[in-house]
Amino acid sequence: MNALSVAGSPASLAAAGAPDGMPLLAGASAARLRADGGPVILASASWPLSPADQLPAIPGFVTSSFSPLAAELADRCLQSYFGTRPASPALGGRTAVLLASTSGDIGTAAAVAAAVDAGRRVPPLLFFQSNPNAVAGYVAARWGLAGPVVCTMPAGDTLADAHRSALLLLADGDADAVLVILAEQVPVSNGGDHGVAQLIGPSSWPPGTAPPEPLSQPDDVQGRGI
Amino acid sequence: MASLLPAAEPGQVVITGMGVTSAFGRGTAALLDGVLSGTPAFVPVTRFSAEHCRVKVAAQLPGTPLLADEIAAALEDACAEAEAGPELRARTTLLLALHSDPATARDAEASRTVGDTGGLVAARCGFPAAPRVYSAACVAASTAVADAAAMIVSGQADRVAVAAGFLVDNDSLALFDAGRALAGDGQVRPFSAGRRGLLLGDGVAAVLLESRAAARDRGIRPAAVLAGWGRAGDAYHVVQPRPDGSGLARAMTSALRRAQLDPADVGYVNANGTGTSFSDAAEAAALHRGLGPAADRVPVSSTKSVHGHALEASGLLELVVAVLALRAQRLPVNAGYLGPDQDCELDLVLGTAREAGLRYALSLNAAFGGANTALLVGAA
Repeated sequence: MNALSVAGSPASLAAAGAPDGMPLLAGASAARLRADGGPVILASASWPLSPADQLPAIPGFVTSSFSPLAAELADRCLQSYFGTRPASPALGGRTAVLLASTSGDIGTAAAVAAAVDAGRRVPPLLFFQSNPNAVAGYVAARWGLAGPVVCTMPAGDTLADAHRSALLLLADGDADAVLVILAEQVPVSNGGDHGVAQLIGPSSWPPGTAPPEPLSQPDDVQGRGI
Repeated sequence: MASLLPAAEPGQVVITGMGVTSAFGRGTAALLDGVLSGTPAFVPVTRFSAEHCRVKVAAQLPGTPLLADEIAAALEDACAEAEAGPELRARTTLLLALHSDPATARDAEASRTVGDTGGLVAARCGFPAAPRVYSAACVAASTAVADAAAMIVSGQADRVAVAAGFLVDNDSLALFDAGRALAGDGQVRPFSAGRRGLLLGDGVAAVLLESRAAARDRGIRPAAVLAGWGRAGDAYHVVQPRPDGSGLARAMTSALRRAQLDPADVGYVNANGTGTSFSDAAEAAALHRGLGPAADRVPVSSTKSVHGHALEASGLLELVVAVLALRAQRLPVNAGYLGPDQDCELDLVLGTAREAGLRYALSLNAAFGGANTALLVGAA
């Protein structure tokens, strides 16, 4: 499924429910998150904002718009929360980066395939950008985000699955917040490149320039709605 | 800092079944023999033309195996060991870690996704459709294992199957060759003087993770305990590891804290050890930072030196190696060694496999983007 929901609303979180109705979080982890007021969407961003929106190039990434898209989404989201980069070590040091994309980097993969099929050498820069971890690491280094780095290709609703992964990361305890980046690279005929980014973290974190959105109702965190 | 899970019940997650395929052949016995022998499985690439590449060797199964077939076979083996029949599989989440599919790259309409392979495997083996594919390079599979463990500990699931696969393909060889990441001398020499890079290798693995209580209720004796897991980022560079190893060290510390163990309890480290100059030095620094004085004594080997780098599948392939070492009480060889490197002062398992009284083994992985994972396994 290439379509990407761009809504970060509580309603979209309800769609993230485990298909079999199993609780997403239970016991000590749910209690910890609830005690903190539960995870909320601290900041969010999307791309494009208008048909004229342009993706800035990023050094070392060529040919494909996938990595610039992911990096721009991250910058827009994090700027609205942290202001200038890097994030403070106290917050950034405990923030994970989760890059989810059903399509993946179609542009880079196609460029590699074309070179191989033509018997040409693959451009060396494509090696470095060939995995989504590269741009996730670019974002992490740029903003000082030292939590886990995770890249996934959801099979169903991208946003709902990314929220499941983010909440699991928070419950697991190696991160206090997760920068979720959803980036889809699709042909212009299918709507073109697009994506959203959300910083999901505890409601107790200091306010950014954007008001936090509730990620879910408390019962949802406990499991029934998510 | 937030509390880690589990806070009070170490040993809650167990491994009840494993299946594996590597260049040494199909099954755990072939892999164990291979890693204990210390004889590299690298051969000239014949699966496709490597004419355009500088380095033309990899660790490969014979012929042209299909990824979905191999993953399905590994899953069947894992389920057989765990006595997981159709009814159990139908209510078990399957998490997959896969390398990009060359066929997807050649699909101009972008109608195929890597997830299609996952759907095929899930349907063939009787699992519900996999919710996602983990694509985080060399920590993809170990990240899936950590998520599976978190699902079990958080009460979301009683058991989770994790499967991963990479078969050496033309696009991957060309990419790594273009990036000059491959060892031009045709040998992987982790932590050794004169190391020149990595070599690719086929790797397919599957495990069934369960809560100890669920396994006990089914009357299943676990193969091993997943005692701890941890992950952390470097926040340092697009593709290079942080030289002081602090990110990987934090992942180790997290795994040890979950397991409520001390560094001295670790009896073997299956290192990430790609054979790359700066990466191995950073990992050695991480081991000293994460384990402290225990790093001077703990035996270390990177079995990538014999089975090659299985990319997205490496974390699961090497977790299976760690469990096999635990079961055999023998430590795999760090092959390709030429001599000491002052940046990699470790107790490497050199020459022949080492006998050990082993209770816990640590499997480390690191990837592009500064992603680090540590998985800690113990005897059941």
